[in-house]
Amino acid sequence: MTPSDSSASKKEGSTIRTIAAPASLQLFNRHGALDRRKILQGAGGGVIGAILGGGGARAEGFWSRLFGEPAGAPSAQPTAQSETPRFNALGDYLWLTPTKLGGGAQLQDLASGKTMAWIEYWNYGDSCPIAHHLAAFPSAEPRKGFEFINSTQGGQNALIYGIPSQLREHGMLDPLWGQGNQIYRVGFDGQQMNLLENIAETTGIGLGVHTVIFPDASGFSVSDGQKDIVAFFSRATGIQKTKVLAAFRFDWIGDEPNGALADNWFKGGTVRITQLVMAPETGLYDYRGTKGNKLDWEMVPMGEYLAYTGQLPGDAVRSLTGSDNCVHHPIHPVSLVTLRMFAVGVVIDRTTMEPVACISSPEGTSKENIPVKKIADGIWEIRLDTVVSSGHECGFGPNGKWFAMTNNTRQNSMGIFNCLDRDPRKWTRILNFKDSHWVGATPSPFHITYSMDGSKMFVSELHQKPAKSAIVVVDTNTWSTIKRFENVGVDCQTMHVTYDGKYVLQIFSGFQRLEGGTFVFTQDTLEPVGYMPNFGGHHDCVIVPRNNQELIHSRCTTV
Amino acid sequence: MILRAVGLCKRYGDGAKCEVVRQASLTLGEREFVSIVGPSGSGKSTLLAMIGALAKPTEGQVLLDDQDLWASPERTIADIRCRSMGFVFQFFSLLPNLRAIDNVALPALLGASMAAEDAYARAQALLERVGLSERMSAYPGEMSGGEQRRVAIARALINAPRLLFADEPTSDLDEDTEDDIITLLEELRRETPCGMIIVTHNLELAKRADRMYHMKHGMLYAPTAPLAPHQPSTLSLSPPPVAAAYSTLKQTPVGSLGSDRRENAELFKPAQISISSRGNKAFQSESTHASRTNGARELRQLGGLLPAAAGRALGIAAAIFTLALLGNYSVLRYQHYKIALEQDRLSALEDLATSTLKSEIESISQLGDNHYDVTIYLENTSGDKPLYVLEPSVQAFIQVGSEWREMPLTPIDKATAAVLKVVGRQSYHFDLNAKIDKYAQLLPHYMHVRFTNSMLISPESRPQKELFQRNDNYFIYLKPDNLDDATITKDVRFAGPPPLWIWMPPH
Repeated sequence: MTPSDSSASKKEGSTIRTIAAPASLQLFNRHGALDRRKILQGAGGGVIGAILGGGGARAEGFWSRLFGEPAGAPSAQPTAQSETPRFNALGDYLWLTPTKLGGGAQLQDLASGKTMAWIEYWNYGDSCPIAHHLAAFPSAEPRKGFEFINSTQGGQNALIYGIPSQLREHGMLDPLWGQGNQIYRVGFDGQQMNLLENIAETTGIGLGVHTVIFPDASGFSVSDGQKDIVAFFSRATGIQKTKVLAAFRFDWIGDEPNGALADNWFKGGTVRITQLVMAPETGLYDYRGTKGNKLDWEMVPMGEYLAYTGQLPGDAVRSLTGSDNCVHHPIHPVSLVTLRMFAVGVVIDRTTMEPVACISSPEGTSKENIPVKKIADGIWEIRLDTVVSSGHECGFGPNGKWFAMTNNTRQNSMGIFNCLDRDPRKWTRILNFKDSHWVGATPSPFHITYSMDGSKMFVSELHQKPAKSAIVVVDTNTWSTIKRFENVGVDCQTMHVTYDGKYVLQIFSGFQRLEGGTFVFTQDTLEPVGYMPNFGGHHDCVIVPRNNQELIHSRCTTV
Repeated sequence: MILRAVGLCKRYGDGAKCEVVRQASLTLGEREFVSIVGPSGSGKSTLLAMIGALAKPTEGQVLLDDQDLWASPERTIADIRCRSMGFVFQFFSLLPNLRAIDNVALPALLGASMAAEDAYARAQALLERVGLSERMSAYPGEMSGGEQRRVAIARALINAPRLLFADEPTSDLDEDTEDDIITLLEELRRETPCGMIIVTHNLELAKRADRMYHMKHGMLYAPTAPLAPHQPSTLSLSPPPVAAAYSTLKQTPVGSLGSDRRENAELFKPAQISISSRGNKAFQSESTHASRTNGARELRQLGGLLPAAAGRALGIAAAIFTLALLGNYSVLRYQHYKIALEQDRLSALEDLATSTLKSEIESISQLGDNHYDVTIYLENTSGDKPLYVLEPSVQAFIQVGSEWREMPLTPIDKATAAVLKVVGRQSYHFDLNAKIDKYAQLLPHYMHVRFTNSMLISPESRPQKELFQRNDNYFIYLKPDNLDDATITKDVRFAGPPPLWIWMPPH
């Protein structure tokens, strides 16, 4: 390894080494560097001195009173109050983020910059909590209290970041308490966070990826591409216990199971959807901890490649569909489950809790709906003859008119659907949007959110490590890129818009090892505002909603 | 009759031990010129001071328009002294830090008897009249004694006084200058409408008066009588010739004077009277006054000119301040511009080094005996424009316990070059010697391997500016050479045979 220059600014992954050019231009005179401060001091001293007929010291004092102390002048002892950065321009909002490998969640006050409270799940007996995705229920007064759901990622994910860990050696990867898939319901009581319920323990369904709340806040879904299970839960509050509304498992039956592994998916096959049942004797489902895992690791971005090349360890890789997120239509009582391995969305009617439609996002596949065939009670099948690309994240527009899904790995585009109809079988793909930068495998579209009026779609653009991600702003009237924010931060994840429609907050996690923080830009004028400090390798973020209308713009319709 | 002094006495100390002036009486009519001569110490100046409201008499009265001057309140006396009397002192008493015109205008400014512009216009006219039109801006220290005396005379006339008192106006002057001053006073005597009393030891000057008094040992004597004490009861002591002259002058209407004299007569009237006049002559006078007023504006600085001067100073200061701010702003903008340029360049360099250049483990194959051919690719996605990687350095580590232990990694072929020119996708091979007895098994049976790839990246083969140092870490699980698949699949299941290596995508 080449020794790095100690004087250079460094971070893991990259360093700029100065060789020749100074950082900034300086003019020189015989007294040394001449900068604007000196010019101002000189001119100011002369002017004020001329006016007052006083000496330089007096003039400098006057100047200092006008414009602050000159460099090198002793300054008054600053008070804590005066040193407090002011974030209140962002609004009176509470910013909730998971700390990923930190094993908890934190609540920041955007009005003061303070961290109001946090929680760490290992304190409750979880030996390897990887706080993953979260969603907050509406609260009329979030500062006085609210509840949120936070899933934990599969525990062996701690072994894929290049950390020389001894988790396994030390016996910390317990199948039930050390390999994630917990669903924590946490309450903030105005002062601190309290763990109210481990929903995985209450229901017997442990899932570790996207948590998304229904638009009416009556319940929520949690999904997990490691298990290919999506579950719908009713909402509990306080000491109540959460109940399962319905849970589905998605399995792939490839037409070419014995050929090249990639052909297992790309040569077509059938998606089988099975509604899970609760054991009557226990009142629980049997999918806690590692139970039901098809993979040993979570279905990470670009994990599809590992499936194609056989580099993904797990008990049932060939049956992988990658059903790791589920979003809800803002108006109609339907939810859409993304099957990442095919970039299709299976629509479930929440009034009947049955899958009713399937839409395909990539170009080269049918723009029309793919039929969902009911085989028996609790079993449905979808025939996919054409598989051209994998997909990943998705989201409904806040007005319920359209739906967008990313196509990754092989295609790098986004399918845009008209989803206005109550009957999802009438939804059709109206176009495929592709930014000019989306060439090859990366950069690729990642998470999605919308402006408050739905006129803009914000897409985080994932770049290969160690490059910084970008943000693409798409005009939803013309479906064209109107702005790009380049080099925002390493590993940009989800975004969130402040409910007053002023700012967009983009959280980035640095692949758990590099830089992290929150980038802020204005929603309407698309001007960068700056960065907010934020600790943790976040995979998600929400601004706590105050009502159901705000909830639609939160972790409800998009992931 | 303007002034009548009756029985003036001035004593200092108790009783008559030091009686400087004794029972002095005199009268002064309008346009009348009276002189008082006498040796030094005879009491001339003291008498003049009492008549001029400068020193209160011990006894006697000074009647001004039949009003007892010294019976008036001090404020009234001061006002009379300021507005109705003019003084030419034995010593010039000019303020050294003011110009001639300022000194002349000062009594009018202090007395607020006229507007500042009018005061300066009048001062200008008076200085012209006393022959100092070229010396208006001179300071006393720059003027001769005669010039200073002229200034003092002009100053005495600034308020157009009804009474002019001159105390030894030609003292300390050489003969020629003395003559000039005498001539000047003589002319003024004819031109001015005021009464004038001159105290002098210069008999030539005294003789030009309408009436001449003598003073000796504090006693005032009529000029026509031998040096006998003046009788207070006989107040009218004017000698016939002088009185006749006085009478002639007194009866001479102003309008019958020549134009210069008429103008000068106007000059010695209060300015407002002249300005308010109408008719041709008055108009001429008004025009002259206006001309002087305009001209005086350029000379104005004292008093009324102060706000303008302060305004100019502030304007200049504001201009300098504005220039300083503009300068500051320009420097600021320029520095921002340069910094922005630099930031853009560095950002472009970073983008080039991290986004345009892609790098990862491409493949790994077994070479036998726990040696592996590790292929790392570098891909320049910018097209034909080459990128240069300087000092490429790749190292390999295997996790042992909680530490990374470095393993031998030998570059093969072009991977040994000091500078790599990257166009398109290029692969570089390394020989990894992974002979190790014990290693951590995060994934059962597999070695946890880390490769570090340190690169200095530049768009130039011979970089002139910054380089971007990129330190990549690639993590893989690597299957040991001597382990059969069946052993592995007992603990780890795969969709196919256990892979030789497993790439770990960052997330």
